[in-house]
Amino acid sequence: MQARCLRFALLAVAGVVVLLASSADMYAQGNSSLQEGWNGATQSSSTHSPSFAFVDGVGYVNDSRCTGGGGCNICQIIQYALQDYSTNSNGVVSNGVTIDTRGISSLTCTSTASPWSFLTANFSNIVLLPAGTITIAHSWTLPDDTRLIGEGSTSTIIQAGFNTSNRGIIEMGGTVFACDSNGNTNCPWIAVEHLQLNGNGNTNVNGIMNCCAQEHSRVNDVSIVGVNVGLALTDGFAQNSGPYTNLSMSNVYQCLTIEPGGPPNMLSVTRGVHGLTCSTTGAAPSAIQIDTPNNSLEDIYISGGSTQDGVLIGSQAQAQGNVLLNISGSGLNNVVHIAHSFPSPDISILGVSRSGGAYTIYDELAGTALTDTNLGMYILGELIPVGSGTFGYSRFTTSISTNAPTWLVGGSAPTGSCGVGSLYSCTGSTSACTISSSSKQATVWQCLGGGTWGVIK
Amino acid sequence: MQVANHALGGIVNQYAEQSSYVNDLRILGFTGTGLLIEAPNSGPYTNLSFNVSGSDSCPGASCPVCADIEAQTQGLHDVTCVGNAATAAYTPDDDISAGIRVNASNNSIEDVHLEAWWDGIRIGDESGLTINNIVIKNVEGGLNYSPKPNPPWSVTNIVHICGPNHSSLYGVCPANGTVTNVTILADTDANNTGVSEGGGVSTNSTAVQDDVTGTSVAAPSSVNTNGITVAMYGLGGQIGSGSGIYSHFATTPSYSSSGSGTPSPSWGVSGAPVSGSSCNTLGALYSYTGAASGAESVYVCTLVAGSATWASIPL
Repeated sequence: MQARCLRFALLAVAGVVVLLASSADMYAQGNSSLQEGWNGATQSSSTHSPSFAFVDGVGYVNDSRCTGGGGCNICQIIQYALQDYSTNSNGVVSNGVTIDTRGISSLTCTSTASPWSFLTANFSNIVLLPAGTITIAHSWTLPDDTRLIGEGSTSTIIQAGFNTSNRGIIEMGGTVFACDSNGNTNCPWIAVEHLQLNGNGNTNVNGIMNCCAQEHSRVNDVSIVGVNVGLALTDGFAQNSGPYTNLSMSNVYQCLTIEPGGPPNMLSVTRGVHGLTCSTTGAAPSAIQIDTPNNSLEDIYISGGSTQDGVLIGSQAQAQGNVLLNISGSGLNNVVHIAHSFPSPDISILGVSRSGGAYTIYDELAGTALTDTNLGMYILGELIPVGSGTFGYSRFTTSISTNAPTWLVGGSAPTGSCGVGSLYSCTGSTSACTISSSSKQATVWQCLGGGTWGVIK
Repeated sequence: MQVANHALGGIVNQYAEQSSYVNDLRILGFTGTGLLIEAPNSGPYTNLSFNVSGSDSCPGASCPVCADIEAQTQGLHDVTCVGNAATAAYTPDDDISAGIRVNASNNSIEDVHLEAWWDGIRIGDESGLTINNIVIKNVEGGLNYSPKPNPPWSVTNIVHICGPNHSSLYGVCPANGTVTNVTILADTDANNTGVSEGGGVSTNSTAVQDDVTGTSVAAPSSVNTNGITVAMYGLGGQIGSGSGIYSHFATTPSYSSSGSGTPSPSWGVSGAPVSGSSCNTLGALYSYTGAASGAESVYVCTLVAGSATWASIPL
């Protein structure tokens, strides 16, 4: 036992020595005059490790660069920490920094510039935000390799202190950054998690705008309240971004827009939006507007106005190849609306439900409006070759609305009205599959013009 | 993760099962397998990007693979998989590269972007295996973004289901198991640029190449720039044993790509009459929603005087 205690003591002393050495190394890596922050790790060799610095923002509260009394606010702290750790004493770009602002209480920012806008080179940075309401006077425009992490979507609130149209409270990438070697605004690895964005009465501003964040860029567990558009993907440089997960939006004009952007950088594909509760003011034509191909929308609940579409597809540009799973709408005109303005075939929809409103699916392209309260499947395919041209679309649905042909199955002869062009397979016995009044018997039936069943075979 | 030794892959999971996952990872510069999964019930594998070594060739079976799924998992989701000039090419009887290989049942692959592969996702390319229940959703490929070679390194088959009814035009799997019950939603071949086959023949590409039924979901050969999308492609099971009769359905017109293949008939709907007009896939159905009261409304694409023609049922 005594020997074990001695070993523990020696280890503890060694740990303190290592810790002190690490502290000294941190000071060497950053500005030598600074006394804020710690390195996460260093190598024990003579060569300093290019370690990822961990900076406690509290050390910046009384930084002398914050003039005017009262110390530094959270935006200034983020800005100065980023600046201090962007390069080492030799001018080499940092390998990264984590800035912990969870101990900061001065949360009102007056600067009309983003804390990241002062960087001259981009590097990996993680900013941990505190619980509380952070008021900002300008968009936070995030460069590539930036992660903004709050303490929860009801705890960390970033609220707008500005009301500028076509700007976001948070912007993923931006034209001020040349994020790749070709000078493009291709800004990967931007993540926003565990916080709330609040318009604070500024209804012109958007929640999150992504013009330029591509691979490995995502939004997760974010609540957005009282803005124009909750999440707007606006340009081709946002392709391959996402997934956008676990989102909640309320009192917004629109929840989501996936916009094509302008050529030559047309947005073509994202990793999808999975998990969204969307409550709008009801004033916009749609709650969710999809105008690009190849997106997946899953697990989405929408409540909005009685003249509003829940998901509007292809109204501004072609949007073929989208897939929608588990979409429910309340109080909407149409839960899903496939527009014909920019024909967008190949839409896969599984699991749609409607509470109130007119239609579960309003497909202008195929000329179909379905009223089913719950709908298992609606697949809009491609144009059908007929002669030298094409007519109609390949389509398959499990709708029991008489507005669309479907394939029904039962154990007895079909009765009642039906959707013209529907099929019916009677799997029962000969007698069961016979209409007694007409003695018509068959295994396969078709719904004739006028909506009555006729025998095929 | 930068793979310094190109012969190495990225991650090998042979033993980590339930509650073991990989998230938010980039694997670069490999010529082996970026992610090899052999442990069952692991995953999900999410937010991954793969870029193979840009200059390496891959003769024979040595082509790199982004992900090789050899066990049931909780899915591979949110992936970009980028090959190179060698992986985009095809040499008959030598190599046919694949970005993602699936050789185990009960897997889902979702939200995937593919560049520069002959096969983007290939299912069942090992003999002796039975692979069922594969769900693929929102996959897209065919355009190159980084780098931007000219001519582009295309993806020939976004999804290739291996089987006996292969196509010389769209490549032959190195081997094939028994594959059934594959569901594909939203599968896009973003361009249809001609691809140089081994003999220099210019071919076009597919959204789905199904060698089980011999079906190709491909843009018509006369269309060289526009791609093709299929909203739903379903390969079900085989009726009986060895019948060659499968339940399968596509919402995009498809073609028979082998001598014994069967295109997948689709079901069209419109208010326009089609009776007597020509059609392209025998067995396809058409619901004429504008039929007069009491008139037949369902038409089939059948042979009339030797030509594929829309005819009412009963004929």
